[in-house]
Amino acid sequence: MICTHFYDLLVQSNLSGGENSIEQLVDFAKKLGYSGIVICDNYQNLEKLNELKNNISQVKDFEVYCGVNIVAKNVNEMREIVNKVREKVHVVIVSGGDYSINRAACDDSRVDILMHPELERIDSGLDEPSLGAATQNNVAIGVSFREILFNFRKPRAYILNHIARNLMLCDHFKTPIIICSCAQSMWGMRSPREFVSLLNILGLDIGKAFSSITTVPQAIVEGNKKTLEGTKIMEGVEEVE
Amino acid sequence: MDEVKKPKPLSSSLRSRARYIAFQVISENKYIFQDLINSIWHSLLNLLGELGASEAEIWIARDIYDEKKQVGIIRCSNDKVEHVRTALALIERIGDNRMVVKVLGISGSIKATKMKFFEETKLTEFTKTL
Repeated sequence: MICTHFYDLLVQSNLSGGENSIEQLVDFAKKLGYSGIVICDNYQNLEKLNELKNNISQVKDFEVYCGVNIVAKNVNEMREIVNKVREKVHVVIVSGGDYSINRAACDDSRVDILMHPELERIDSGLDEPSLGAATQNNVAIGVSFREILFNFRKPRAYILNHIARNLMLCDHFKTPIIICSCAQSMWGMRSPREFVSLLNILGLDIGKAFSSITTVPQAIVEGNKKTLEGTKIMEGVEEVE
Repeated sequence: MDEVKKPKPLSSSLRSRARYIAFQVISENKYIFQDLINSIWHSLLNLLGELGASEAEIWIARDIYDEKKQVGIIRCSNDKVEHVRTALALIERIGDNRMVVKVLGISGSIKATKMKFFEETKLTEFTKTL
């Protein structure tokens, strides 16, 4: 049976580069049929992160989680930020593109998602060792809808080709796949079923396309929620009542 | 003998199978329906190309479009539904007006689409209440 709890794991609010407030994003997500969203602002400092967490805690009738999108210049910077934020947020996303960052994110089990590894590259940004490591460390490979939406003609054709290649490789290596809107305003968000169609026409099986926006993000969020609450001690060890 | 103006309809086994996509437009401001049609075709041609768009057998129903609720129907070929859905998702704006096309659902006939997604009811479903 197909799970119908849809999650968008990367939406940016007006606290960092985005356009809309959390309330507006939540209203629009409800309209589109989501069960939950993750407000993932670009990491600036811990004060901004705490402000975001406070704002999120005020939303009561919808699942809203706090995440961090790490846009790092090099591997050391990425690891530093991961060290700072891992114990504080529900989702840690690393913005890919540079091969060394892609590889380091795949090797780091504290990272949840490596987003758009093909960004501004002439190849797809992933290879066999990276995907092997990602599968082992349970790092999901993210597809960014914004990248497709705001590119046209030749760049879009290249991006679609690279994403299709990454999907094929992830399918082969059994690496989890996730699709996010990466929206900077509510007008960049789309209905979850449309994301399934996109992955499907890029060559992914419809069942796997559904799980990329339902069960995979749900597992990430719920696993990290338990860790933050202290009920999950380590992978496979949990406190149960 | 009367002049025959159009060809006879094909038998059902020779006809291509169609699907009807019910959609809703969520937009910042009001827009003209013709601009919406242009945006849909622009997106379809960008994503699928001319050959793909021809294979999709697109028909946008003008007379069914509800300007007040901003809902309408697009017919497409059975095997290109996912492609058309994606093309609709890739529409970002009509002119300067930002918008989102939300697919309400898909059905096999116009009648069923209207009943399922536009909440139209059959006259026979009304019962006498005293």
